Amino acid sequence: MLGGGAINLGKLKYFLQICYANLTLPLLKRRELIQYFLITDIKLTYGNRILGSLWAVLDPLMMMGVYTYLVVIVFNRGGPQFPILLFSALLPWRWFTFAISGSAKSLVSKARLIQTVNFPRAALPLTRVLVGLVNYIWGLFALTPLLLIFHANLNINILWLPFLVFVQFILTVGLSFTLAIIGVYFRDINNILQFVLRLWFYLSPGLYDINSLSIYQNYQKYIVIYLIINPFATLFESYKNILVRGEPPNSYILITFLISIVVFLAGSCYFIKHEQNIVKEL
Amino acid sequence: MRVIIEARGLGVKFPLKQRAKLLKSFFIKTKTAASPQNHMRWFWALKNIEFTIHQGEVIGIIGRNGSGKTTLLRTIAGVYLPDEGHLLVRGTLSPLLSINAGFQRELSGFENIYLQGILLGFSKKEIDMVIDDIIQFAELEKFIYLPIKAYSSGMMARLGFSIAVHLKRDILLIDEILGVGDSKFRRKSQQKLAELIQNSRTTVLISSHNFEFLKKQATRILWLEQGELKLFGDPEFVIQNYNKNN
Repeated sequence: MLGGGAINLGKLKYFLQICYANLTLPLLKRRELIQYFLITDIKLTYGNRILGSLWAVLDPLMMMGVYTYLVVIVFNRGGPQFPILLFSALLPWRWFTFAISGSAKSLVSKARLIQTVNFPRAALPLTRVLVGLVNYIWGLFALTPLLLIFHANLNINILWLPFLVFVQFILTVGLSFTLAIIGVYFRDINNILQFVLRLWFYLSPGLYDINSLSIYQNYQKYIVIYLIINPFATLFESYKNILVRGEPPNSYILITFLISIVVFLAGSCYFIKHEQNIVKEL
Repeated sequence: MRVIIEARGLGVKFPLKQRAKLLKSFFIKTKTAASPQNHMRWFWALKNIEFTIHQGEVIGIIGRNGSGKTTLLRTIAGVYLPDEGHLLVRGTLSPLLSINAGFQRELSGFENIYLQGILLGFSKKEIDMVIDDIIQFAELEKFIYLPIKAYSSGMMARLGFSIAVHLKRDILLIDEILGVGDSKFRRKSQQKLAELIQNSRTTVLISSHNFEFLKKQATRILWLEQGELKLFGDPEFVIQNYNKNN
């Protein structure tokens, strides 16, 4: 699809139509089902909806505490605003990992349901992404007082947040669709996934500032590649910029946006293509 | 009578090759030579099935284990797509009723009723109207707020059956479930089924080994053997031939 430079517009239109008819439309028609999956999923994850939202706040707070202890006290690094810089990156990351590792087993764990009734199976990974999003929004409530306590530079740039969330949403949905299918073929995917996600987090500027990489040789040359190939490099930087530093998002976010669209379309395509086969593999 | 299900040359295949179920084996397999002939072998669970079913019919499906009964029901339910031929299904479907109904084990019986109903495309309001009847018929008043994992298999079967007969659909699919539950519930469910059958708008497909029930209730019987349609017709006649063969 990307290859060759020139994209055949007719083919792209045809492809988008298939995507819409086989994936988006059935999901739109079954909104009530997704809503019900969402509610039961939250209940199942936390046992209780009220307590669940509390955990969604406490969990990243505790993680922030651990990292802050490690970086600020043990290594004597970070700045005065380190906790909120970290927290504004940890929250979206938690959403991402929750969605990805949940999606990888979303089809396998619902095998019996899939084998008794025909419904849009894409609703299962999609639900995981949405549950993660709900948790993320709860986390923002915890973040707000912290931003005030640590004197974040809050200004008009915060209005970029819905855009960033949207970029991350389509990126996550695309990857979740892909992993939901792979998770059926390879049941042990979660073992490697945990490792890959951890590595990915450390490769992204969550615990550190992207400028702290400038001590390396050829920084200028490589940082561009880094920002282009790692969507979470730009996402983390942008979240920190708009929430804490009061600056507009990293300009490479537009490239991340394009990559997210491609990942979303590719993931959807992959899901549609394999949806029928995986039912027989369950 | 209106044709409600029609199969023409219907075939469904499954991959037979040993799939790499673990990422680990995916890497190791490249070194230990995997048998190349095995690569693209398919097992046809159903082949060249032809039949027409009319509205209001009660079709019994018989055959030995592994003859394709469940695959046929699942294909009609829309779980599998035909790999060959055509299958036409007109009307709304109930979930395929089987012993391992698609319940969520962690959720309560009450929540599972809603889940099943919404999966079938009913609105919450429509489910509200029948939920008491469902619980009462399943005789689960005391247990309905317990998670399904605490249920016995008989209780699950009762709940599944109750949901399927109360949330009415044009086509009811039942997979070897008549034999579950205690004898009292068995009688009750067969009675309810007979009631549904009398109300001749519902089309019923039952796979069962209970020949007495099928002889009484089925309008026709479909006999599957190794994925092929052996006989399809009058219940007495098909069962007689089946018994001669087995």
